[in-house]
Amino acid sequence: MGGMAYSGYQNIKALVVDDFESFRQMLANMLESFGIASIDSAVTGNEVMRWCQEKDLDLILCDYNLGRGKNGQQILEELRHKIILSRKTLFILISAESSKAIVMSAYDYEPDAYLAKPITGKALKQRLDRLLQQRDEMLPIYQAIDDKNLPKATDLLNRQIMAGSRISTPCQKLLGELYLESGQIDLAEDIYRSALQVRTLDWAKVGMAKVRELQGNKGEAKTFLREIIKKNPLCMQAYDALAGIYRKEEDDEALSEILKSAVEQSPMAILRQESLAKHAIKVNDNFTAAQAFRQTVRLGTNSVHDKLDNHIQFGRSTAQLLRDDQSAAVDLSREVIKDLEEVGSRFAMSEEQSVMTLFVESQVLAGQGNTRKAKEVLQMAEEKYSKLETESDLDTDLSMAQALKDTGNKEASDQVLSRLVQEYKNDQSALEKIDPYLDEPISQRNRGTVTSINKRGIGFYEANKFEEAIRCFDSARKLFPNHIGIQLNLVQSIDGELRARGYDKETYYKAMRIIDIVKRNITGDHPQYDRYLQLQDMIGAHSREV
Amino acid sequence: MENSRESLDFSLILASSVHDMKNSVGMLLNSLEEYIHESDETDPAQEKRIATLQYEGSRISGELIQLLSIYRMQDQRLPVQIDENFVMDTFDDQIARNDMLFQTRGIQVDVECDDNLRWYYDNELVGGVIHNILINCARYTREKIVLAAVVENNQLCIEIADDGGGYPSAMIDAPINEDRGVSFESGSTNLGLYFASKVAALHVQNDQCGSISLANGGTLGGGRFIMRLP
Repeated sequence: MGGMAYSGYQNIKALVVDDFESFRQMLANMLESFGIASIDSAVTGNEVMRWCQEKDLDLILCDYNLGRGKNGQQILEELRHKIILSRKTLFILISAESSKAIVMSAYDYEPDAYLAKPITGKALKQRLDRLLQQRDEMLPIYQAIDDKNLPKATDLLNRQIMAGSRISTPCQKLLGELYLESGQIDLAEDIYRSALQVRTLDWAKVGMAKVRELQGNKGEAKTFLREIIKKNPLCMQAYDALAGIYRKEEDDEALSEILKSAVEQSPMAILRQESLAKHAIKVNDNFTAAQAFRQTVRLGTNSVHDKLDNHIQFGRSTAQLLRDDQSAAVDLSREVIKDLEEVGSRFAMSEEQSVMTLFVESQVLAGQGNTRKAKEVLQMAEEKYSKLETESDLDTDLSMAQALKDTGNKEASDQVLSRLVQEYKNDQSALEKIDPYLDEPISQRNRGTVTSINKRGIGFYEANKFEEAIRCFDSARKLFPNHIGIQLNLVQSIDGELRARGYDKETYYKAMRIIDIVKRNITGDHPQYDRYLQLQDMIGAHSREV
Repeated sequence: MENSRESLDFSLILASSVHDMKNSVGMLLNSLEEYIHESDETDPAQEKRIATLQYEGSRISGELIQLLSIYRMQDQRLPVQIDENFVMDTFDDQIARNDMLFQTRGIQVDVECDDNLRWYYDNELVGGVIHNILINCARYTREKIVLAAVVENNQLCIEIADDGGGYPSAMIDAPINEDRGVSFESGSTNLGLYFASKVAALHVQNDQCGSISLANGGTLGGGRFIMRLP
């Protein structure tokens, strides 16, 4: 009885995907013996897309490993992302791994089922019997959802749940989601509560956390989600929900933490890597940003989520890392150069985009110390830039200014920046974007920020709280890496710390590194030039190494 | 320091090599099944050889999968996905997976389980345990295996019984843990039982933890493997 045979095979349209002819044939033979008449086969992702658009498929049996090109998971990703796959199509991933172990929750999308090799005819039949039967029972519900007939969908789902049918659990999950989406929070709560009465299951607890959040009880929602993660570190929905709450609360620190641990658990999920990387940029954590963008670039091969911007950002964050500490980014910078040289073959780039990648490449080369090549690439970029037919983007112009500066042409860089300041003088949000490239910020908001940080830091310094002062100026420096006043304030605080606590190698070197950065930026006519020389001597006096 | 890194690398090499072997054995088993399908073998001696090929192949495959799982458990990289499952479906899957083996060996497999019995466990892992025990039973039973499941004291109790000579008493009495050692003489690593006990222990509910035990006798009079899941 458990294995009740499915009776509708003659109407099923199936697609078999594998790069081995013999395996495709074997699967096709099995399907044929079940009574399926319409069986097509495909080898590559593109072929799958074509079949999906041509035929209203019921079933896709797809091998995970397809040799070159997209793997089975990436095909599924593209189908779901482009919404080519309808709810009624079953996507079954076949893998030689102990199936879900490698794939489970490590990705952004899950198939309807996993099948482990070796596959026997009888086992496949039983699995399909069950899956297709369940699908058929769900069809009227899917239809109601596709028709946007919510009352009908919830009514059908409730009936299945009341009857305690075989599909009652998937129905509960779906109903809870529908209630949440449609804002019927109390009804959703009922669903999750009754599920939780039977047993603590992750999906119900995550659902309950979402209910609490929507009820305005964020604290309890967070507690629930943290509990789930503690018990089951692989419950990715809990990370995603928790990250959503932190994002709304603008709790940058907690958001960083949760995104980092989510990525640790599911390193293959390109979208999670991307959101970690973008958040890291926001909080000026260049190290994390460069690492995470590196992953988005690596995972982007064959993925529908590959984006040119990820490649550019990978380069930019690495260049920034190099400016800060050359030794930290040796491997990264090598990978960036290789990637940027190949990126043209991966994307159809506009002229401006290719100019942009050249500017970034030049920055990274300069950071590596390869000034000659950096200048060559910059020259190439400038030539292309001069031929651009459309007005260039602020981002492109800023990258140019940075590349000029990195290759030692501060004068030209300053000229570009002053032109930009003039051009955008009435656009505060653009000015805020320009600020980090300037010696002193120019937008009202950032000027205010600098003033208040300085005030706070100086307060700490004067109270001899050097550690706090250092922390304060350090975070300001990340916001405005070219602000000479802030950097000198930081150096002066470190000097205070060294005087108060005595010599410490690491602290001393930190001060020397910052003095080095200032040296590259400052000119003799700068109002703080004398102060810079004085601080350089003061720090130098701490050294015991000859 | 150097040393520990080396041994770490070696276990990684071992794991990836085991992974390769497992895939190859999978291909062998698939071809073998196709061969059995297509040939109308009537020679009993030949049939017996095929049965041996299949049994040993399944055994290698099962053992390699266990090795990989244990490797991942150690690393805490084995995802445990506890969900509601129909016990009957889990049984059906494992019986179907070994269908050829039972056919070629002339073994009858009976199931005693309510169609609608649902329980909470990781289907993949528990299925793997049942698979291993079934293969083991196929070797030691005479002609019959019974797969049974009931809920007792809020625990799912799965029993796999056969009508063979039963488990040796030394095995029944000994605690099942990793220190039990490997008996190269008997050719038994007891890896299967170790794996089963680990899988059971991964199922925890309200301070109760899953367990396994061995016994002899019962209605079939042979060996009985029992797994309890809270």
